[in-house]
Amino acid sequence: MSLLELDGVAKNFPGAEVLRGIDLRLEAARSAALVGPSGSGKSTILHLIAGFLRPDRGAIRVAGIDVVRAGEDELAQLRNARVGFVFQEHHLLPQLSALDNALLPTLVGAAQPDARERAEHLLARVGLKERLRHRPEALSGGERQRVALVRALIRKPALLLADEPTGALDGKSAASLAELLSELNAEEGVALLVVTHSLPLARRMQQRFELVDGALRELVSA
Amino acid sequence: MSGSLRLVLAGAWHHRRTHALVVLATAIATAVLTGALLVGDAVRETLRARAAERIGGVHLALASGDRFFRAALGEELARELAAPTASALLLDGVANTPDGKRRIGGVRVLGVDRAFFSLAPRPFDAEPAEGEAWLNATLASRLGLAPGQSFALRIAKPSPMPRDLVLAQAEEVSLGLRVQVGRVLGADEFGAFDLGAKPEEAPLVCVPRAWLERELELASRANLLLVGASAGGEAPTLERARAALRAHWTLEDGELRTREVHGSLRELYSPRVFLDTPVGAAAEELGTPLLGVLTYFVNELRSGERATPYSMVSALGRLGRAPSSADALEAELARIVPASEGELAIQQWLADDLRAASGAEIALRFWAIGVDRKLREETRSFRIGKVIALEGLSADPLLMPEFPGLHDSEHCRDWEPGAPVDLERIRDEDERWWEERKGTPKAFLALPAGRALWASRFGDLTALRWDPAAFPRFEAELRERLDPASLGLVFRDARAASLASGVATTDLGGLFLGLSFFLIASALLLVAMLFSFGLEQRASELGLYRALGFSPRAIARLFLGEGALLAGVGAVLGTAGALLYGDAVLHALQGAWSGAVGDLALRAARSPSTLAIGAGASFACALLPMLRVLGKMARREPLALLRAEVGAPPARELTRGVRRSKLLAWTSVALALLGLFYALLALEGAARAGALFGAGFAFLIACLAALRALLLASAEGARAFELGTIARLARQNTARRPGRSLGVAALLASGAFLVLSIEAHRLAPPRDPGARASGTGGFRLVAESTLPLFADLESPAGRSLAQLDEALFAGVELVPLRVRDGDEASCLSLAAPKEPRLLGVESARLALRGSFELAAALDLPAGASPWTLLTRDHDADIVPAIGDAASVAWSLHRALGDGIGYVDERGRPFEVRIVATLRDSLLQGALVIDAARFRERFPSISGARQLLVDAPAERAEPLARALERSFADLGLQVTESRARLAAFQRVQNTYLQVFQLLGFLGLLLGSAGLGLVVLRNVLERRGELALLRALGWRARDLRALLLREHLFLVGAGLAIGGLAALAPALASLGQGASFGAFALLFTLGAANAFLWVLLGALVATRAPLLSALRG
Repeated sequence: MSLLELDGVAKNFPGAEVLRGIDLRLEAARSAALVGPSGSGKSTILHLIAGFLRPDRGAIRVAGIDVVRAGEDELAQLRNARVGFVFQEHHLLPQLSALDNALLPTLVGAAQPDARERAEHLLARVGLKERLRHRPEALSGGERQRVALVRALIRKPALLLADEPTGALDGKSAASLAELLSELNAEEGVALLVVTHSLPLARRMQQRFELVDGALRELVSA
Repeated sequence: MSGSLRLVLAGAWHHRRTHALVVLATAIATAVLTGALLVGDAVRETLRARAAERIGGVHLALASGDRFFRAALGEELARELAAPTASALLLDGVANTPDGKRRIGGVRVLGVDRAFFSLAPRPFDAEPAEGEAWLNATLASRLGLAPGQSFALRIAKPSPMPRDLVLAQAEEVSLGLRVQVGRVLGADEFGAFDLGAKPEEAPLVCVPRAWLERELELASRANLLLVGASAGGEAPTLERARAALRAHWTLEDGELRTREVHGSLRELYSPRVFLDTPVGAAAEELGTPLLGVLTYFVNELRSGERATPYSMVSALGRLGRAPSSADALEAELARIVPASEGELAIQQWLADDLRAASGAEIALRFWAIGVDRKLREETRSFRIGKVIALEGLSADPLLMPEFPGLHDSEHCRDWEPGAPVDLERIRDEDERWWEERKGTPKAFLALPAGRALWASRFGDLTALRWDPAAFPRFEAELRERLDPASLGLVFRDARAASLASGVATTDLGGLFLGLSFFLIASALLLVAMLFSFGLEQRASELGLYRALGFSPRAIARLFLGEGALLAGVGAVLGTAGALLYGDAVLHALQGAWSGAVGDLALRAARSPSTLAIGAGASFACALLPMLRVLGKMARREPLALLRAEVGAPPARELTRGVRRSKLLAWTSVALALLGLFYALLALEGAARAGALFGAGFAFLIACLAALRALLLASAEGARAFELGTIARLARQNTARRPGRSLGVAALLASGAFLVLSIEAHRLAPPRDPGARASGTGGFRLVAESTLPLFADLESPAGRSLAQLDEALFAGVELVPLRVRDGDEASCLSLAAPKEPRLLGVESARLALRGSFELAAALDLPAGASPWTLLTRDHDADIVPAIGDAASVAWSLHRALGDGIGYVDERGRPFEVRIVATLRDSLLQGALVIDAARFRERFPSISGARQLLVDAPAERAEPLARALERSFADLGLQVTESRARLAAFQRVQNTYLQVFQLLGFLGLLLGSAGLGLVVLRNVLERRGELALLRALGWRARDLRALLLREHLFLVGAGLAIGGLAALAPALASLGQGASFGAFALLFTLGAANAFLWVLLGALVATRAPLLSALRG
């Protein structure tokens, strides 16, 4: 059984048929990129996996959990413990320090005694050892996104979903974050599914999928 | 249309949904503010209209009480003044339904004719027919009578002789009549006629004057003379009326008569028996040689073992100028009058009867003329100076005045004097004397000796005689010299007095405005919050204007224009709402809140000026917070505005704010402690309650300042903050908008403080009405009668006469009060009292009992009773008085040492000076003066119309029933003093209830503000909340976070308000405050706030996650 399984997932929005029976498999600790033109429905796939949206038909399972049939609390637990999410915008809380932002998921769900040590370790790992107490306003765009990455990893998720994580960054920051994602994929053993327009980032992933006209096809490495 | 105006209108329209709430809040503030003013208008208009209805077309009035002048005097004055007049009889009465089931006391019975109704507000030409009564609507409704139905009317029967005189008849004090209802008079038909200031319509009956005169044996007499305005609308002045009265009055109008008597002399006498003191004084000033006569009824003349019962004794003496030459009278006096004051001259008949001769001692036993009708016999001994023959002056039966029940009796067995007479003692020879010689005196005293025995406040002569041949103009000169005012015939400007009383003692509009203060403040705070939120939402728009080169002033003008538009629309809508709100309050004042206005039927008044003032004030009040918000926003940097970063204050401001808040907190704590200790250790009563309220308020400020410091410090220290729990995150979130958070907490705290501390002021009667140092004075019962009570209930003999069971009176003490009717000065009346009702009491008795609780006194020696102040010497025209503290302060608007002007029965002005006040007493509504001074000023007011009854608890009820049964004809009603006190307290408690209700509405509105803040916070943070959901937070985790954030504020606000209200509560322990009510109010406030927070939290967790994440 794969960590992530999508079978025949379809999703329509008013006036638009976005996904027409998507099938996708991602094994544990693997990484994959999802590419495609803007508006093709890449982010929708991530939102469906995270349970932000419900498919019109098809099945989605994450670590054996039926996301489509799961209740709100089950979905919340899934997002809290098994799936990390990195958004294009960092979505850090402006009133909290980098460390506190990273710790946000640990305030709910199962107790995590090593949360603080892990947050400090991960922040140090992403190069923010000296910026733990800084608020988002004092961080650069790249730094903010790294804090968001740490926040997504704090619960040791099995699957990390990243939606255009480098989309709002300059080239250098984007490259740095792409490298970091790859490294953490390996170090943390977390499966990674990235939606991106960035070719360098996509190339770092072990698998690449392209979404065109609502259908998904895997791209074979050149 | 200018560009700016277009921008304003476009902005207002585009943001109409947000603006709708601003308009709504402004409308609420306007409705409450203007509505309160409309309530004031209604009270003013009602009182004015009532005053106009009471007085009708009457301008001047002469009310002579128990003195009856010629009804024709009115016509004479009408001709002289060229103005309409009406003579009437005005008496007190009691009305009963034929089945006796309903009895209404305090009825004013008017004997009138057409002239009276020609002075009505809506004049008409009619009068009741014989046996017919025209009632006002109040009496008709209370008796449940309609035209055609009959009822029994018992009327105070005038006594020619003041009833306080022991010989006056006290048995037949009333006359029963059966009358048929002919008409129910509307207020505009003089149904509300009253010369007093009471705005409520008192029961009134009009019967034909001529018929009433006959029934009362008062031929062509009246005791009320009303003067209206001439056809041209001009009313005679007071001076003209007084001059006309002096020109036209006769001695007959002063109940003075003359007749020819023995020796071709003329005699001045009065059916009142005694000549009023001013009459004697004026006669003596004329310089006419006069014979003064003072004749009294003695119970016994005894010499040794022999006694002669029931005889007249005359004191004779010269008054005025000595005669120029010895005349026949001089010789007679020399023959009759004893040489010294210790001697008595007796008729030969008496000498024979007593077998006494000159030099023997004779004891005179007689009923003492006391201060009231108490039966007390006195005995005085005289030596027989001479025995005289029954001839000449000594044989004149007219020396006996017209003692009621005696003078017109054919036989001794027909005697019916007021005092007990043992007819068994009357012998045949006594009967023969009476049949042959009537009241011819059997003994004579020198006038000074007689005066020493029988002079009283009613006079010291029963007749004056003079020689008409020598002094033919005596009567005319006496009439000219005598001021009719000294006999109680005095005009007063009834119209001015009535219209002056048509002013509210308290501005109810202002009062309601005060009571609504918190509600209005809450609405305005809501306006400020909503406008502020709206601006924050449009911060980037402001920034854009700045970026485009608009000056801060121009931007402020633009947004203020929009704000003014909203406030204007809100004020207009609110004005319409004010009409509904005002009507609702008036409706409540006639129903659930009727305790605040008594029986007064309020009429709605919708003055355009009031509406304009209310709308204008509300408009201005709504604009002020907008200006403040705009001022703050305009100071922000353009870039910050463009990024919509308007929430967090700069760090420097935070630090300064923490410092200032701490300073304020500590200062307020110090003030609160100071106030608390000072109040508890050094103050009493209302001052203590006020100081404790102040201390509580200072504590409230201290706590809010401390909370502000905490919030600012949390916001300031957020960098060092480390999360661990949702609670800590919640606390940090609370500190993100310290101003907003503090506003919510302050609103709730203030509301809770006001509502709870007001509860502490609720009054209740003392638990033990027998406690003397309480509002009841230790009197369990209060009896009031329409007609005066003459029975001496303090003596077994008096009780026996009244057929009361002696056993009921064991351990009972009664304190009678004389009543001089006047304006109601208690909180039960809204009209401003000019001449409050006066009560005369034997102050020494209350001093001895230690009755009532002192509030304040003027120059009272330590340990002395305030009642002793009533007998302290003052200037001759000052009468010290004690009043209830609340009546003095709020109804009379007077303080200790202040005076109120009165005119006594002799027309002499005097000042009633307040020397002490009582706390929360059942004597509210009147001023109490010492009985002796009362009698001196109002000698004709006889009998008691109030009784304070101190009875053992177990006998109170049967005693009350027995008294009511015995004196039903007098309209006596007995109430429990606790009930009476509770009725007074109901007024204050109703106001407190209104204040609490309006405060509670304010609290609800305030918590609506809280709900708004929650929703606003949720709206502003919907992205953040969506993120948390994306990070795996469950809905209940989010709810927990939001509830903790806001419930902290709710809890802090309510706890601060509740704690601060504890200090005022200390003042009320043992009074009417209910801790159950405390708990209920607190719980309701908390529950309401909780609901709003829950609603906000639910909205937050139901928002679509993705769209929220995308912002």
